[in-house]
Amino acid sequence: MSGSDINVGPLPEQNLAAFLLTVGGVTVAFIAVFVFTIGDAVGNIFIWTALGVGLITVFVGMTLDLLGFFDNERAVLRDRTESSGPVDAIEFAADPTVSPLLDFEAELQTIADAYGESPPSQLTTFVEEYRRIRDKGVGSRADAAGDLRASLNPLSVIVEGEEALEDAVAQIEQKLQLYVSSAPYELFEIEEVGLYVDGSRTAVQDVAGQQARIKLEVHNAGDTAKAEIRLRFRSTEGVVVRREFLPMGEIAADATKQLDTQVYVPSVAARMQVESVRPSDDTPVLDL
Amino acid sequence: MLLFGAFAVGAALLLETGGTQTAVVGLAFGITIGLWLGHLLSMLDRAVGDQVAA
Repeated sequence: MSGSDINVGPLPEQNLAAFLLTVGGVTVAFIAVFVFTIGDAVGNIFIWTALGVGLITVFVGMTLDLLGFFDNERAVLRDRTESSGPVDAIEFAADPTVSPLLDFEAELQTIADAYGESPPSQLTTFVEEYRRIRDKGVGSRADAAGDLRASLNPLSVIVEGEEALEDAVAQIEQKLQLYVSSAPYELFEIEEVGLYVDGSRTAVQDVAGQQARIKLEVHNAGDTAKAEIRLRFRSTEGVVVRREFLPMGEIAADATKQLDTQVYVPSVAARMQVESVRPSDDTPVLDL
Repeated sequence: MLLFGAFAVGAALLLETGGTQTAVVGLAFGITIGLWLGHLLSMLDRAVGDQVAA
């Protein structure tokens, strides 16, 4: 996707003021220790050394600030209160591990287009959080998505009355809700399930008591995760007569993987049921 | 080697002039300064690297 990100600057996790305050505090603590414990000519050397190191640190800190190492709090504040220019494109990194449920590019673009040159601070704040998710690992992404949902509330307030924008926010909310409330294995969609004998699809009862191939497709709507399918054959009374687990290994986000493997269909089987279950670590992946 | 030499000479001098306690404090102080300056240099290196990459 082409275009530029909205310029809201990096998040204020570190800043020069905190750095200098810490350096000052540590220097004073060192000097106090030297004054009270040594206190003679050697102590003076130590005190001057501590001051010298503190001074060097201050200069290095200022150089780091010039190089943009520290996040610039002022820039963030300015962008929140003043216009940061039109939002050409809200770009999400093409990270293959990120769930399509966390892709709000189209919705955000709709909202950004409506505000044109002067996007409201509620939008820029949300975009900041949205960009932050791409830096998160799969494990901590759910927490970040929870925070993102909190940032959506102010945005939903300002779009009230604008039907198209309300729809866009509602869609984002829906996707986020599904993502946050679902375990990774719950976001696997199983499609095209069928039993095959000699290449042709057949009903369960027709292959009862025989070997058959089961074919299915699993689409991952969540982040990259391991998939495992539970296959259950039931009798006419609904009793489970055979249960089999089919580990499929890792499936990338928004990818589809096919399963094609041999299974034994019990003689009393009348129907079969497949569902995605929480994958176990110790099961070897089937050769697909 | 140079660093160890400098530490040894510094410790000996401190031992001579201020006694064991001063020498121990001086060594700890020296190590702390060394680690801190190393950390500062690595931060500078990272910042310059980021700037070049940008």
